[in-house]
Amino acid sequence: MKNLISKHLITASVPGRLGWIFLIFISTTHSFAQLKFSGLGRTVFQSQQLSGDALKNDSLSDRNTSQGYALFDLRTNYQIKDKFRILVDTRLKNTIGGFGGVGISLNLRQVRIEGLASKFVKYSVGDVDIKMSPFTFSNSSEIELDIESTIFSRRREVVQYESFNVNNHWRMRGLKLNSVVNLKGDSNQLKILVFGTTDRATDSYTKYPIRIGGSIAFEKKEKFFLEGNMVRTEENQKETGNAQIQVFSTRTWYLKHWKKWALGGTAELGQSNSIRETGVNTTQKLNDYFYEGKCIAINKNQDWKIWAAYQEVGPFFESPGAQSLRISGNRSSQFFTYVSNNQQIRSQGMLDRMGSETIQNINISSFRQPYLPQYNLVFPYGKATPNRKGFDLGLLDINNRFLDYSFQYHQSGEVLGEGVVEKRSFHLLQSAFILKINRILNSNRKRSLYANYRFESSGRKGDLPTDLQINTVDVGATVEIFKKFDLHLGMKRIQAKGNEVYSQINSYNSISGYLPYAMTQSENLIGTGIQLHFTDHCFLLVSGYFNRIKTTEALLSWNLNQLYTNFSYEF
Amino acid sequence: MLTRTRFFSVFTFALILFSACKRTEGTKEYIGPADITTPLNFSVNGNGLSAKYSLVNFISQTQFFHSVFSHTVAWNLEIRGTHSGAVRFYSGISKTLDSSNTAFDGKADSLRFFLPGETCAVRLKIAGWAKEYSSSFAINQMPSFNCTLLDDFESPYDSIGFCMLYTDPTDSLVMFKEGETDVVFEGRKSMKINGFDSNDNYWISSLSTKNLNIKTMLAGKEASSTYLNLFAKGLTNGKAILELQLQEDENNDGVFNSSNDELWKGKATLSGDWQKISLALGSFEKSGTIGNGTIEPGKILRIALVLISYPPGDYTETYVDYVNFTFGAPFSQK
Repeated sequence: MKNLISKHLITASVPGRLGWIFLIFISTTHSFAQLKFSGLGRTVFQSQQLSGDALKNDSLSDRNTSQGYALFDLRTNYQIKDKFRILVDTRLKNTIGGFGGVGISLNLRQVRIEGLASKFVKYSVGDVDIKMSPFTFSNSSEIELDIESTIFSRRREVVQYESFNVNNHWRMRGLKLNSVVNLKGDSNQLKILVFGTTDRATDSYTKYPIRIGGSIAFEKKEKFFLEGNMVRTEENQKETGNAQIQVFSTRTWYLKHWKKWALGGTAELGQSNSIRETGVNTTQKLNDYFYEGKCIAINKNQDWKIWAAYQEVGPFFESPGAQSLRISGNRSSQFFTYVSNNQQIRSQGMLDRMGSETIQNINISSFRQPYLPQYNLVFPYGKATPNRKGFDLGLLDINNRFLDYSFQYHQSGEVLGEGVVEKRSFHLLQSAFILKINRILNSNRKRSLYANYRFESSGRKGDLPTDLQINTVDVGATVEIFKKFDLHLGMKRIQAKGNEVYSQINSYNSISGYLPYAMTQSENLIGTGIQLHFTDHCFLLVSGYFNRIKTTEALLSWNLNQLYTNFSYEF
Repeated sequence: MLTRTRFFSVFTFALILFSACKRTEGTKEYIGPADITTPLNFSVNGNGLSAKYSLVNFISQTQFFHSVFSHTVAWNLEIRGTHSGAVRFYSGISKTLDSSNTAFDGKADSLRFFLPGETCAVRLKIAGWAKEYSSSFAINQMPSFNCTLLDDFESPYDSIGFCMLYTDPTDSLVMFKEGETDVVFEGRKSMKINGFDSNDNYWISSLSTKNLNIKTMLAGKEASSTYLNLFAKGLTNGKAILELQLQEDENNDGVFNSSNDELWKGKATLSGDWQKISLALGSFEKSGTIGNGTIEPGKILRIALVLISYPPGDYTETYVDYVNFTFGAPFSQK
C-alpha cells in the first residue's frame, strides 16, 4: 500500500498529488476525526440562436451555438472535534464536446480550514465569506425585482453558485475570526468579527489588494443591537496608483415588544475617508458621510410590518465593499459575446445577466463600475449608492396564508448636482405578490402565481434636463401538474424611455465626463420549462428562454432564443 | 437590562460622534467637472448663425456673430479665409453668440494673414451636436497690426522701404519684383527676389532699405528686446538662405561704409512654406572686425535682405512680406 501511494505521489499531476496528500492525511489521523462528504453534481446543456438587427451586414459573428458540461463538486469535510475542520471542494468538470481528454479539468473550487482557536474564538482560513452592514461591506443583489418567477430564479441560482454570490456575502480569501460571548445567559451577546483578506481573483493587481476590517456588536436578543464597523481597503492597480479607503459606521436597532405589536427603530451612520495617488506626488483625498434612520412597526399576530426610513449618502462617500457591482455594465456574456462582424461586444440582456455563468463579478472594485440604468436606475450601487438623500416607505407581509406581498415607495434627490447645479430627483415604486393558489384550493401540490412591478424615474430640470422612466414587470406561475412534475412560466418586461446623462467614473472614483443618451428600449424575456423532481435534492429542468431587445440603435437590438437543460443533484 | 434611556444615550453619543464628519468640497454647487454636454432636445433658434457685417472694414469695424441656443452649450466657431487659409478660432460655453464672445478684429490665430478682398467662411460646431451652422462675409480692409512697419510691398514702384537692389554682376537672371501678386502672404502683394548663382559664390543679390529713418525708429531701444520680423518662403528644395543685415552708421556720417561701419548679420534657411522670421537685434552676429562690437539700434542706418544660394551655383528665389520691427516680443497678429 505504501509503495502504491508513493508511486502515485511521484507520478500524479498537481491536483492529483494534493488529493493523495489529503488521502494520506485523513487515513493516518486519529479515530476521533470525522470525515463527511457532500456536494453537487450538475449536467447542463444549452443551445441558443441569435438574430435581429445587431447581425445585419454581419457575416462573421456567431448565430447558433451550443455548450454543455457535466460537473461534480465533491465537498470533503474533515473534522477533528471542534478544533479543526478542513473543507475542500474538488471540482471535476467535463465540457461536452471535449475529445481525448480535452475539456476535462480537476480543480480545487474552494478550500477552507476552520475551527476553534479558543473557547470563544472561531477561525476560518482560506475561502471565507464576509458580510457586514449594507453601507460598509455587503454584496448587494443584482436582481431588478424583489421576487422572481421560479423559471428565472432557477437560472440565477446556478450563476450565483458559480460566483459564490449568495446572501450579500463577499467571497474573499484570507483569515476571518469570529467570537460570540454570551453575557448573562444566552440573551445578551457580544459579537466580534475580524478579517484580513484579499480578493478571489487578483491577477489584475501588481500586488494583492488588502481588505481588512471588523466589527464589534452587543445584542440583546430581539430587543437591542449596537455595532461598530470598520473596513479598510488598499490596492495598487497596474494603471493607477495606490488607493486607501476606510469606512467606519455605527449601527443600532431597538425593538419594544407588546403582546400584538413590536415598535422600534434602526439607525446607521458613518463616514469614509479615501486617499488616492493620482500622479507623481499628487494625491486625491475625499471624505464624506452617510446616515440612515428607520422606524418599524411589526404586527406579531398577522406577521406583517411597515416602515418609514430616511437616509442620506454623501456624494463623496466611498465604500468599495458595499458599492461594488455583482454585474458591471461592461461585462460580456459567455454566449454570443460579439456582434458587428465580431468587432463589438454584444450588449447585455436579462438572460445574459441571469444565465451567463461568467458574467458576475467576484472582485471588489475601488471605483464605481459602469452600470446599466435600465436594470437599476435609482440605486445602481445598492443601498450605499452615493449622492442620494430621501425617504422610504414600505409594507411587507411574507407569512400570509394565501398571499405574500410587499410595497415600497422611495423618493430621493441628489445631495449635489452632477456637473450642473440642478439636482436629479428619483422615484421608485415597487410591489410584489405571491398568490398561493394551492392553499386557496386546499391542495398539496405547488401552485403559485408571481407578480412584480417596479417603476423607476430620474428627472432633472434646468439646461440639461433628464426624464428617464423605467417600468419593469415580472409575472409568472409554477404549477405542479403531476406529482413532482412542475410547469414553470414567466415573463419579464422592461420598458425604458427618456433622456438621461450618464456620469462616467474614472479609476480615481471621480466623475470624468458625461454621456447624454436617449433611451427608447423595450426588452422582453419569456421563460417556460418543466421541472421533474426525482427527490428533494435532485431535479431535471428543461426550459426555453426567449429574450428580445428592441431599441432605436440597431447594434443593441437582438433576439436570443435558448434551450436550457439542467440536471442537478445534491448529496 | 438596557433601558430606553440608555439606548437613546448611546444613540445620541453616536450621532454626536458622526456629526463631526466632514464632506469634501461640501460647499461646491455640484460635483464633477461642469457638464457642458448638449442635451438631446437642444435646438438653435432662428437663422442659426449670422454675421453682423457682410462686408467688413476692420479699420473702423469689428465683426461679430449672432446665434441663440435653447440651452447653454459648449461651442467652437471657426473663421477661415477661403483664399488665404488664415483661421481664427473662438470657443465658449454660453447660450448665445454675440459681440461679447465672438468679436473678430481681422487678426488670425494662424501664421497666415486674412487678406483684404477675400471671403471668409464661418462654421459653428456645438459639442455633442452633429449639425453644423455656417455663414460667410467678405473683408474690405484689414486692420493695422501692433508693429513698426518697414515695408509691406503693397506699393510696387515707390522709393521707400526695400528698394535698393545690389546684384552680383556676374550672376544671371537676377530679378527683384516688389508688388508680386501671384504669391501673397499679407495684403495684396509681396516681394520676390530670384536669380542664378552663376559664379558659385553663394551671393545673388542684396536688397536694402531706402528713405527710412531707422535710426529714429530704433532710438533708445534695447537690442535684446527689439525684433526684426518678416515673413518669407523659399524653394521646396531648401536651396534658399535669406541673410538679414543690419548696417550701422558707426561714425554717424550718414552713410554705411564697410571699412568704417559695423555690420551685423542674421540668417534663416527658407523652405517652400511661408515662415515667420523674428530675430532679436541682440542675436545678430558681428561681421568683420570693424566697430566697437556692440550692436546699437539707434545707429542702424539700413536693413538689407541678402539672397544666398546654398549650395552655390544653383537657381534660388524667395518671397518676402511684411517686414517690421516689434519691441518687447516677436511679431504677433494679436
